[in-house]
Amino acid sequence: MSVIYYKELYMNVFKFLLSLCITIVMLLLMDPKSFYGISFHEWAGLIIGLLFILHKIFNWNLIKKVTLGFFGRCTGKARLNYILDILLLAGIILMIISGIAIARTIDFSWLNLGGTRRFWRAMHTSSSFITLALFGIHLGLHWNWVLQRLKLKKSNNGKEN
Amino acid sequence: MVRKISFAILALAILATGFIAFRKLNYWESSVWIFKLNPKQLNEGGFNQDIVREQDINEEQYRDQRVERDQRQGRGRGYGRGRGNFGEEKKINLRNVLWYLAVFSSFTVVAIYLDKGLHLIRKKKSESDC
Repeated sequence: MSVIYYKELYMNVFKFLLSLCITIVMLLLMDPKSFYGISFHEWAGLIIGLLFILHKIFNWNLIKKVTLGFFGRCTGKARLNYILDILLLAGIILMIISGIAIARTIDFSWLNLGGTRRFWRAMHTSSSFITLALFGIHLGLHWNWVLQRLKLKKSNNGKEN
Repeated sequence: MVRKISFAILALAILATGFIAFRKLNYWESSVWIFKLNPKQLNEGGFNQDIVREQDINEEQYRDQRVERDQRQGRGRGYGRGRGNFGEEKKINLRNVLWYLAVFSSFTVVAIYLDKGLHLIRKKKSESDC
């Protein structure tokens, strides 16, 4: 087995575990009282932003490829996934910014975000609910990839997705 | 065949649980809450109990505000209820997390089957074109 094979194997395992981690943390974050209260909620909310950035970094080649070929030779499914990912990105950004605006255990007052607490509370709730739904759809559209990672399905072209 | 039927039954169970969770969590109302705020409400501070859903009320913050108000008025902690403390809250309570998991799984199942369906349609279309 070549070095490249092992490198790709470890990268895929890491990407799978990262995605799993993001999923679990996201679910725990949906209820601030579920897991060690508001303090965990706020810190984990910041950490999930970092995990999300990491997820994008590890899929950067694909993102670049689809961006450059969006109006050209991309398949319809790739375009749909791309649009969904942009919406997910917007959702996560809004979630984090609104979370920062209403944070209680971490002091972000120096950011002077403005707006009322009601507005940011509504933004945080709505963006998190919509993002969770988009997240579910994102997972559904990448389900074959998940099954391949779990060795429950072979890829069609002999290559890993 | 048995495997396909089992997966179909599992998918239906997930969808049914997801639907119940969707209603229980007032998922739609929470998702569109930001779009329903009018400019007057955007400029108001504080919480309006009529608008905020029961599940969105931050009980801990409301309790803290009540304690501060009672202390400003010279009342002891737990005034009016005859209790000295507000009780120990469980550190881990995953009941609501499971409901959110049900909704999340439902969306995943819908996407999986829609994707499969579209794939089949495209396949049949390309076979008929040949």
